[in-house]
Amino acid sequence: MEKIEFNYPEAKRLITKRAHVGVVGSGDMEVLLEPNSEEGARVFITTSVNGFGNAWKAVFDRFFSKFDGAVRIYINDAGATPGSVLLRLEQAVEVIEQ
Amino acid sequence: MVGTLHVHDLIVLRTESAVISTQSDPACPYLNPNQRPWVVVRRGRISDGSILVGVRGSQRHERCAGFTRLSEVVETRRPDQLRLLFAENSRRKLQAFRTLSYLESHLAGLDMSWGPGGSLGYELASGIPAVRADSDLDFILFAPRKLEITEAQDLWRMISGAPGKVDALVETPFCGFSLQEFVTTSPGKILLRTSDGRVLGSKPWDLSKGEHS
Repeated sequence: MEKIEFNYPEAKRLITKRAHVGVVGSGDMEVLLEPNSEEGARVFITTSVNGFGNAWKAVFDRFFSKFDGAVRIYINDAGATPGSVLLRLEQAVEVIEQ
Repeated sequence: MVGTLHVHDLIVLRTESAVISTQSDPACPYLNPNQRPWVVVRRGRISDGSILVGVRGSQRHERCAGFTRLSEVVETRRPDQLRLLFAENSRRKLQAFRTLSYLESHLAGLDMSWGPGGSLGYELASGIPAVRADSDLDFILFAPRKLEITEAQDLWRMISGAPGKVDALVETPFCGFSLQEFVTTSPGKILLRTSDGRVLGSKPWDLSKGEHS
């Protein structure tokens, strides 16, 4: 079990909706995405697989290179592959941008 | 003769050196030469006589993905062939085994086949202890026909009454998906695990007709 946090202060666009997608099951993860009360975006990851901090950083750097919403993202991960992580993030964004 | 192999099947290989790693090292280091080399079939296309397999070592982090030749397979067990009666008596008090016992008694009338996967399936097939005190039960339901949402809800409600956590995966002829997500999200998009990778979609029994988004 490992906890990881990232900050993306440049993500300032106002977001008003909340999304909850995914499940905590083998090879998958649960994502809660909600408006951040502070400026910028913050990411809080709890993962069952230790030692992948750099891979998570790469995924979120890529995600926030396109997404600029001021959100809090909570992730409960049970070993999702990087591809599934991006799919779940896209799914959450689709919900809040509807 | 081993017949057709499917994802989640447990197989014994001729030798422990029959697995070629797809990760950094050329060999999968976790198979114990003193035990029969049991590995699990991973999701992916069978091509050119090769199948994707997953190797489990004695420690939680000892996992390795690789592939092997179909000709190396000497024995197979499907998840629906694995039941509590194969478990050692001393192991049956572990939560995952108690959960399996609950499912066996509550699913007796189900018209679809099902079985355990993950560490519990591996232990039942191989006899090698793999289940831990905090292991979930990976439950695989084979659903060749469409599961109606009410039917899925009833099933999930029953599963949720089990003594331990159940990670329930439904396998259609085209993909696998989480029963929990299907129940909570349907008819919205859910994560579909196909032989060609993962996609979001809402028609797990209709993937052949081209819905890939």
